[in-house]
Amino acid sequence: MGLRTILRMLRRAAIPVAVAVALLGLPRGEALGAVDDSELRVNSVVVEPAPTIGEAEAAAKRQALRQAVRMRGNLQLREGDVREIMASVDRLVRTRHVLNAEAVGGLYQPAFYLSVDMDGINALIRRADATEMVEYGNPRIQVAIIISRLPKLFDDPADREIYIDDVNETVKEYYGRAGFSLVDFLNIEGEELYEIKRLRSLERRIFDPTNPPTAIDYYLLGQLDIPSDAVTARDGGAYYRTHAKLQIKLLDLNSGQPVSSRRTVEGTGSSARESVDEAVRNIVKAVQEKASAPDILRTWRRNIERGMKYEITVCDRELKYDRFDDLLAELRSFGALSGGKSGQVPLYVFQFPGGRMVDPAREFEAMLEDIQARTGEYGDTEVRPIIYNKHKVFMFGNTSNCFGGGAGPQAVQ
Amino acid sequence: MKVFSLCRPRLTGLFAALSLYLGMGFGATASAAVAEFFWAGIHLSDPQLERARYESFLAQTVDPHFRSSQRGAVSKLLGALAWDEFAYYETAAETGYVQENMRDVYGVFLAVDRVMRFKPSVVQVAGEAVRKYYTYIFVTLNVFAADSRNLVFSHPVFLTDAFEQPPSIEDILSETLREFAAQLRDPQNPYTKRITERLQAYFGPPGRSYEAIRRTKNPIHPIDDYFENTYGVMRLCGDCVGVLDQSGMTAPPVDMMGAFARFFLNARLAEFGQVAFLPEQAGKVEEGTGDAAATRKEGDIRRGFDELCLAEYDETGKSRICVRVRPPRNPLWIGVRSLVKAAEGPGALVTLRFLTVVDIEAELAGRAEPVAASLQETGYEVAAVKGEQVSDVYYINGLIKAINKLDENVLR
Repeated sequence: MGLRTILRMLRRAAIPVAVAVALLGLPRGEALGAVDDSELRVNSVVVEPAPTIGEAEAAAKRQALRQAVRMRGNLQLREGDVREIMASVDRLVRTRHVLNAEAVGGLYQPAFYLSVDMDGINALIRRADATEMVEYGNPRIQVAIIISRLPKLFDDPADREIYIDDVNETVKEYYGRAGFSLVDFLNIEGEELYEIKRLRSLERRIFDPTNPPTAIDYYLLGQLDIPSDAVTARDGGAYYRTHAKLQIKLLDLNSGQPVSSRRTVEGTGSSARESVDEAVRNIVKAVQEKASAPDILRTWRRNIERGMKYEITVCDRELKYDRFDDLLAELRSFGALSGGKSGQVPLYVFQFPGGRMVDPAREFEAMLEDIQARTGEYGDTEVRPIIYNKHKVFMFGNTSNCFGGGAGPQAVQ
Repeated sequence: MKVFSLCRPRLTGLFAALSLYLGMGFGATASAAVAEFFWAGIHLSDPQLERARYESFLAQTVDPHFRSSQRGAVSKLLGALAWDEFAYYETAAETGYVQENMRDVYGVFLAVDRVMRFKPSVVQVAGEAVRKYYTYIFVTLNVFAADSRNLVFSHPVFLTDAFEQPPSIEDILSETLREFAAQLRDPQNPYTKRITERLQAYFGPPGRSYEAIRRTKNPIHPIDDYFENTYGVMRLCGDCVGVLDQSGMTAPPVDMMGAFARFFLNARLAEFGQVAFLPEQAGKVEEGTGDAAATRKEGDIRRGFDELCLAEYDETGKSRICVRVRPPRNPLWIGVRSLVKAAEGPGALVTLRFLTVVDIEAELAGRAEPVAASLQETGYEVAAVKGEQVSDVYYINGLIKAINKLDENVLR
C-alpha cells in the first residue's frame, strides 16, 4: 500500500458531515435531517378533514411520497417504479410530528411533519435499473476531473495528487455503482491529471485527433477551482467553510451533445483542510444533479429502444463520393440510413431497428468492416471511428488523411 | 420608557437601547411549533447610506454577531422558544431545501431603516463643558417565509447611543448594533422577551402549527391572519414638516424630523398591533442563479422582483434573496409641526420651550372615513445660555414626547 493510498484513506476517514455539523453547535439529528440527502423532510402536510387521525396520516404520507418522487429527478420515473414506491409508503415515510391534532366536530385535520427515506426510494429504482441493465448493456464512461487552483496551504504536489485522486475516485464510484463501465484513460496517463489545470487543456489532450477515444460512450470532464480566498474562517475561527467552483462537461460521444454546467460546492469543517475535504466530497452531489447517472441511463435505454443511431461519413482521396453508393446501399439492408451531404462532407445517420443494444466499438465497427470486406470494390478502403466535433463518426476512407493523419491503438478492445 | 445603562469604554458610559414595550406582561414561557430558520443578513434600507460601502462593512464587523450559530443573537433569540422541532442555519444554502419543499423554513434579516446623528449637546459638568453626540438608529427585525418569500413578521425597534466624539456612520453601526445583538442574546431582556412573545404568537404553541392553519385556511382550526391587519406610517410629503424657531439658537433638522416621526410612530404603533415593514432602498438583484440562496435549483431566484432584495452576506458575494413586502393595510399619514420659543431666565440663562404637534390621518380598514388625531407636547423645556447654539436633538426629544402620547384609543 503506497503512501498516497494511506493518506487518501486517512483523508477519507477524516471528519464526517455529522461531526462537522456538530461543530456548528446544532443538534445533530435536527441539522442532519435537513442536509442529509438520505432523508427528505416534508413539512406541514395538511389533507382533507378525516374521521380519524390515522386516515389523515395515511393520506398525508402518500402526498409527501408523491412530492418526494416529483423532486427526485428531472426525468419521469417508470410507471412501475412509481407504483412500487407508492406501495411501500408505510416503509418509506416516517411521521416526525403531528400538530393541530385535536378533533373539532368529529373531524381531524392535523398538520403532519414527515420524513421520506430517499435511500429507500433510490434502492427501489436501482433494483429496477439493474434488471434493465442486463438487457441493455452498460454504457462506457471515462471520468477525468482536474483541479485548477487549491489554497496555497494545500497546494503542494502531494496534496494535489490526493485531492485529484479523491475527486476522480468518488465520481467514478458514483457512476460505477449506477451501472456504467468505467474506462481507463485513453490518451493521457492518469498522472497527467495532476499537471493539467484547465478544462480546455484536458479536452485537447483527450480528443487527440491522432488517437480518437471512440470506444467510449460518455465523458465526464471537470475542473475544480478552490482559490485561497474560497476558504474562510467562520464564527471567529470556530469552523471553516470552503466554496469550490466546479465546472463539468458531460459528453455523449454517440449523440454529440455536450452538456456543460457550473456549480458552487460547499464544504464545512473544524479546520480549513477539513472544509476543503468536505467540499471535494460534495462534488459528487453536484455531479448527481447535473450529470445524473440514472438520467443518462434512461436516455441510453431510450436510444436502444428506439434504435441506436450512429453517424457515418465517407472520404475519398479524389473526392469521388459516388463510389461509396454500393456500400451505403448494403448498409440499408441492416437499418435506416438518412442524411446526405452536409456542405462538402457527406454525413449520414444509420439507425438500427429498435430494441437491441448494438455496441458501437465492437458490433457496429465489426459490421461495417464486414460490409466493406464483402463488397470487394472497396479493397483500398478502411472503416474506423473518428471524433468529429467531439462526437463519434464512423469513417469509410481510402487515405490516412481521412482519419486525421493517423490512428493509434484503442484503449478498449 | 426605560433606559438601560451599560458600561462601555468608548462611549460615555450611557447606552440606551429603547423600545416601546415596557409595561407589558412577560411571564409566559415562549414556545412554538416547528420551524427552521436561516440568517439572511443585514439590509440597509436607509436611502442616505451607500449600500455597497456599508454592507461590506457590516458583513465584516457586525453581521457575525447576529449570524453565528454559536454566539450570534438570532439563533439564541429563536432558540429560546420551546420548539417541537427547531433548527438554525447561518445561510440559506445550508438549509439544504429546494424551492418546492420549504414549508416552515424562514429567513431572518435585520433592516437598518434610518441612521441619525445630531449636533452635540453641551452640558456643564463641574464647570467643564461636556459634549455628547446623540445618535439614533431605527431597525426592524423581519422574518419571511422561504417558500413564498412573503414577509410574515416584522418588529421595529429604535436604538439610541451617545458618543464623546463625533461618530462616523461606521461607529454608530458597529457599536449600536453590537449592543443590540447582545440584548437579543439575553432572554431576560424585556425587549427580547417581547420579541419572543410576538414570535410565539405567530408560530403557535407546542403541538400547534398556526402556519398550517393560515396557509390552508383550515376550517377545523380557524385562526386570525396574524400579519394581515398591519399598521404603517407612510412617507411624509415635502411640506409635511413645519418648524419655526423663534430663539435663533437652534437649527431644526427638518428632513430628519419627518423621518424620525415616521419611524418612531411606527415603532409606537407596534405596541398595539402588527406593523408593516417600511422598506426604502430595495436595491437590485445581481445574480440569477440559486447557488446559495435558499435553494439548490437554478431558476428559483428571479430577476426583476419589485420587492425588497436582500444582500444575504456570503463569501461568494453572489447571494440575493428577494422578499415580498406588502404595504400596510392601515396606512397612517402624518404631518409634524414644531415651534421653539425662548423665555428669559436668571442671568445669562434662557429657557427654550419646544412645542410639538403630530397630526395623524389614519385610513383604517373597515372604516368609511379616515380617523384624525393630533398628538401634542407643549411642556418640554431646555435650559440654555443665551445666544449659544443648542443641539438639534431637542427637537427630537419633543417629538418623542408627543408621539408617546399615542394610545390604543386614538386609532379606534
